[in-house]
Amino acid sequence: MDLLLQLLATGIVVGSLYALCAVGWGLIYGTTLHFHVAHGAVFTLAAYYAYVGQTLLGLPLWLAVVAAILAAALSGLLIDLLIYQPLERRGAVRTVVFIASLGLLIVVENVVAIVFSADPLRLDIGVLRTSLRLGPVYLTWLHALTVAFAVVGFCALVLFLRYSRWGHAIRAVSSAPEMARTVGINLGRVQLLTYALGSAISAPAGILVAMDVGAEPYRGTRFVLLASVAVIMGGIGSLPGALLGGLFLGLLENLGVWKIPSEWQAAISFGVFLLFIVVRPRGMFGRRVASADL
Amino acid sequence: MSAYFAHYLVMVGVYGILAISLNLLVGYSGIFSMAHAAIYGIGAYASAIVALKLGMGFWGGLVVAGLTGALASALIAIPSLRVAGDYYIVASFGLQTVIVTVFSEWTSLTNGHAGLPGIPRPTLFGWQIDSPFKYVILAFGLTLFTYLVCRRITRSAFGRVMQAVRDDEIAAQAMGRNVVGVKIVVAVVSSALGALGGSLYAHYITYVNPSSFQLHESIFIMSLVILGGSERLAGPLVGAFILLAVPEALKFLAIPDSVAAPMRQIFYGALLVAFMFLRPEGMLGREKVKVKS
Repeated sequence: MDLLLQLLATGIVVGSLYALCAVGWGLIYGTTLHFHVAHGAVFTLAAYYAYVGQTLLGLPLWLAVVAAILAAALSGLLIDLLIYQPLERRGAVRTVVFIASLGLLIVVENVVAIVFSADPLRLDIGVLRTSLRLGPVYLTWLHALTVAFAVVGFCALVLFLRYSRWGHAIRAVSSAPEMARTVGINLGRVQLLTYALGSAISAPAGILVAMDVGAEPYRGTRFVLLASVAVIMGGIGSLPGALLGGLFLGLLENLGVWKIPSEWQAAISFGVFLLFIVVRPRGMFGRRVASADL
Repeated sequence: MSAYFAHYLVMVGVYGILAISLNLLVGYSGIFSMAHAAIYGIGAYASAIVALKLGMGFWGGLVVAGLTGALASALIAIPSLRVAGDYYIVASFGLQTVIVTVFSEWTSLTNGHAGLPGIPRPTLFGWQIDSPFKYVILAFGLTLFTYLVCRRITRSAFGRVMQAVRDDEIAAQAMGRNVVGVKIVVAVVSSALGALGGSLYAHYITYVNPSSFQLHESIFIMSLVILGGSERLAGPLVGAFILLAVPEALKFLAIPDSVAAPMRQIFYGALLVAFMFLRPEGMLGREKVKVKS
C-alpha cells in the first residue's frame, strides 16, 4: 500500500512535468496547427540556459530560472519569426513546416551535445534537494515545487487566455483564423505571442527535470513526443485536456512500474495511446479531430 | 573496385530499399512515419532469428521479414490512419519506441543489447555470397525489385487513387474511394518492402543489435526521401547515394567520434531546414504548381 502511494506521488510529479510540456505544445498546436517538434529543442535549451545562468554567469538559482524561462520564450518566438513564418510566406504547406521543425530539433540538440557533451549536467539546487515526508510518501522539495509550477503555470495561462485582450485574440485565432483576420486581428503577431507563451509554459518543465536529474541534450525529443500523445489524448485544442493527458501519462508510467518492469514504461504509454485513439479519437475534451487535409 | 567501395554500394542498396519504400508513404501518400528504422530493425531481427533458431535460408527470412514488417505497421496504421495524418506521426513514433524496447529487453528472443551474432551469409541457388562484391549484386537486385514494385504500384489505378488521396482527400472520398483503406494498404506495403532492407542488412553484416535501429535512424531515412526528392521514385535512391557518401567524406577530416556523430546529425538537420527554404521538392523533385489562395 505504501509503495502504491509512493508511486502515485511520483506519478503526479512526473505527470506535472509532462503536463507543462503538453500544455505549451498543445497551445501552439491548437492555435497554429504546426506540428512543432522543435518545441523539444526549446525544452532542452531552457535547461541549458538555466545551467549557463547559474554556473557560468554565477546568478542565484531563482534568477537563473527566471532568465532561462524568458530566454526560452524568446527562442520559441524566434523559431516562429525566423523559420515558420518566412516559410509560410513562401507558400509552404504544413508538411514543409513540420520537416523544417524536425531539422531544427536535430540541429539544436546535437549542437548542445557538442558544446556541453552528452553527459547530464547537474545544477546546484541547495535546500530543494532535502526530502519532504508526507505520511508514508517521500519526495523532495523540488518535487513539490514541480507540482506547484504546473498548477500555477496552468492557472495563469487559463486566466490570461480568458481575461486579457491578447488572450482573446489567441482564442479567436485558434477557433477561426479567417474570421479572426476579418475582424482585424494580426495573425502573425498572435502567432508569435502563442509561440512565446507556449515556450514559456513548457520551459519550467525542462528546467525542473534538469534540476532533479541533470540537463541532457536529447531529452527534449522524448518530452515533445509524449506531449503530443498527451494533447491527442486530452483532445486537440483543449488545455485542460493537455494537462490531464500529461498527468495521466505520468501516473500510467509510474503506477505501471508496480506490476511491470520499468523498461516497458514507454511501451505501456503507447499501447494505451493506440487503444485510446480507437475508442475515442477526439480525446477527452476535444471539439474536433485535427483537420484531415494534411 | 575496392572492398571499401563495395561496402558503400551495399549500404546504398540497403538504404535505397528503405528510402524508396518509405517514399510510398511520405511522397505518394503524404503520411509521415517516424518508425521506418523500427521496420528496418524488425526485418533484420526477424530474418536473423529465423536463420539462427530455425535454420531458415535467405529467401525464407526475406518472406518472414516482409510479413512481420507488414504486421507491425498494420498494428498502428489501422487505429491511427482512421483519424488524421498527425495521429500517424505520433503512433509511428510510439511503434519506434516500443520496438527498440522489444529489441533490447526481450532478451530470450533478441539477446538484448548484446545482439545476435553469427547470422549466415546467404546462399542463392547454390551460389555462396561471401564477398562484399557478390553482395553488391544481391543488394542491387533487391533494390531494383523494390523500385519495380513501387513503380508498378504508383503507375497502377491504385497508385493514382493514392496520389489523389494525398492531394485532396475529400475529393477522393467524394469520388467514392475508400480513403482510409488506401492509406492503410500503403502503410502496410511500404513497411513490408522496408523490412526487406533489414533482412538484406542482417545477412550482410551478420550481426544485429538494437543500436542500429534507433529513432535518429528513422529521421535519417526520412531525410534521404525528402532531400532526394519525394515526388519521384528515383529521388530517395539518389538521396541515399549522395548522403551516404557524406560521412565517408567526413572521415578524412580527423574529428573525434564523440563529435563526428552529432556533426553528421547537424549536417542532415541543417540540410532539411535549408531545403525547405530553397528547394522543398528535394534534389530530383518536380516543382509543384502553386495555387494562389
